[in-house]
Amino acid sequence: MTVLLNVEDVHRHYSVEGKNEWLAGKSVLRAVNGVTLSVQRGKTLGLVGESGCGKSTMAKLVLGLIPATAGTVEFDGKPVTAKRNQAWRAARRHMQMVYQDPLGALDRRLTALEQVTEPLEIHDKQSEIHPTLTAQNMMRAVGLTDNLFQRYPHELSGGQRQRVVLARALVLKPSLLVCDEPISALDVSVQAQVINLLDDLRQQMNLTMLFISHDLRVVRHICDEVAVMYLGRIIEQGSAKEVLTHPAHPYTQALISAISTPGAKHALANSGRIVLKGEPPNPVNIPTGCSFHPRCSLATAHCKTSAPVTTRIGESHTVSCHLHTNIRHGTSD
Amino acid sequence: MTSTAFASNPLLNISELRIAFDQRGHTSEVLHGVDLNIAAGESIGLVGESGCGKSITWLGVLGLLGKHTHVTGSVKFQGRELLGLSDTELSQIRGRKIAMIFQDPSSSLNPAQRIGAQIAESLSLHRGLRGAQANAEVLALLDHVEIPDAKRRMNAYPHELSGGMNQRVMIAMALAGQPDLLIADEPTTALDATVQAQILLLLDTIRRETGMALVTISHDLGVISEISDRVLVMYAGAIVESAPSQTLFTEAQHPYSLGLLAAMPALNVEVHRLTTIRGSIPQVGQLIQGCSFEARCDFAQENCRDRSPALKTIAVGHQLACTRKLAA
Repeated sequence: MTVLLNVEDVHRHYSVEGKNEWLAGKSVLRAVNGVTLSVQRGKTLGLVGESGCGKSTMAKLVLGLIPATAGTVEFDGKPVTAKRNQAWRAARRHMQMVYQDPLGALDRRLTALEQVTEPLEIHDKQSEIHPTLTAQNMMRAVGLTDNLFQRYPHELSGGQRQRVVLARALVLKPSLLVCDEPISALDVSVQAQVINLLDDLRQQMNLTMLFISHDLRVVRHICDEVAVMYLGRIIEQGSAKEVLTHPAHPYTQALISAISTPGAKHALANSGRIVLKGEPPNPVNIPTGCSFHPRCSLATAHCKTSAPVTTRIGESHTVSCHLHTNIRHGTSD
Repeated sequence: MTSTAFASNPLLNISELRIAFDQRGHTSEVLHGVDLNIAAGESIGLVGESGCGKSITWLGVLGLLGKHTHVTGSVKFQGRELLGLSDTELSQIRGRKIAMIFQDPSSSLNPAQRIGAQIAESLSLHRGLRGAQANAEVLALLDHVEIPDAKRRMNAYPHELSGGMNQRVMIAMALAGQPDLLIADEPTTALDATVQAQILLLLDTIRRETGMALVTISHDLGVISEISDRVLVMYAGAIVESAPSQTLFTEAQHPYSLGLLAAMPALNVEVHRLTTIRGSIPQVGQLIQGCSFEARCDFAQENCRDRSPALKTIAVGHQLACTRKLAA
């Protein structure tokens, strides 16, 4: 197994105007604050967390759409720099993205077929003899029927639009596909269709995927590995099965507990459910020590002052939480 | 009508509600005769895909659909017919007796007005409270919806609060008129998972405390099952199944309900292929012969195309609109 995507201690900071703070002029928003991860060829990594935790910033960093403040991103052994040069353009055709809102991601004045043909015309000017034919084949592969090819985005349903976005991303046969909440704008029954399609395409095309979602059930279904982000950091990482069935971090446990299960009436009243207090803090003022401590029911004085280090608790399972460093010190392991 | 509990204490009684839109000379019907009873203090959930009519039903009930709509049938609220009331008469009921909260709180709030003032406006409109009295009530409402540091927050603008906080403000505004019925249209869809759990818990607590009835509209079966006593499944402008929530999740009968349940991936079950409902919902205005779900149904038979099935009681509190009763 070779590593296709390697991210080393990457940071992305934005400077923001201080508001309602008399003294602070400019402050720093730490959207991504030291993330290290790698994805092996053909595998799917799920990136989960709440809004504002830095998931989408990670996607942009991986694709080289924005430069990193510190740290490195390597794709297929070569650094991704976000400089709009020849090397970046050449790499870009191998990494494509699928966005949350398909209507916003499509050009409303182009037909479905034109949208899918366009990447070929940009990247494959020389080698592609029949761009339209290739595009049509890709569209059929994602389940679009011939009568939809000449339609404009507004004439398609939500699920069909997302299939067009997928076809456009896959027509260049990329090795990495970054999906940013690809199904959250779709209806439940259509979500299942798109998930199955992604699953099929991934196997047929040997795709490597970075799958960003806040829906843990979908992540469990489609991902090999999962990384849980909180305030710009990865707080737990491991195989999807391991992390989502035996979550170690209190935040992951709360996320899983927050999932509504059909038929679990009065789960709300049950004491077993962890309902977190408050909301994720502003990434401008990240709490000291463990950034999760103000919302954590298990936090101790130690958590407020010192940041936990990443600890290995299973073969492919790591967590950043003092609870586990302590447990580890207590055992002979 | 449905069962004794609802008949003895009806708060809202909708029968044969039809809604049609004018479209360039012809009309297309989007709601095809909905019957629905809500008892005081009851919590019901409405599920279905976009365009199935779950929001339109309530906009029609509250007279919010504008001129180019035809709303027919009957909507009786506390014994009084709502359809045909003038705007002035309706405004005595809207917000006061029946309140509604929407999916995206940031677009429902006035961005240029402090949240305290927005809540006070509701109080003055519906309960005639002004000045210090209104202020005290705003604080009490903000406390009620568990907004910490209410004194300071009432002077905040919506953009200074998070999505979850804004949704709490919306709930506070809806509660300002002390409504008997609260309609929550996708109240948690725009919110994060951990905040979603907080808002659901809040809505449930408020309903228990105040005794108001709650209608939750959602496409998320999980959300509905946690908060509702009874679940109605809608498809293409009609109710296709109605059952107590526990029953629906264990003994659903309509192929569409079964499809929705099966389409959800599970967290603790070993990964297998998801079941899908093939095709997509029919276009609005598209003329359908017989059952509207027939084209997507795995159990469709010859006679499904002949006539559209009516909602029939198949067990206590359980109604179904399907010609073929599936084996349990």
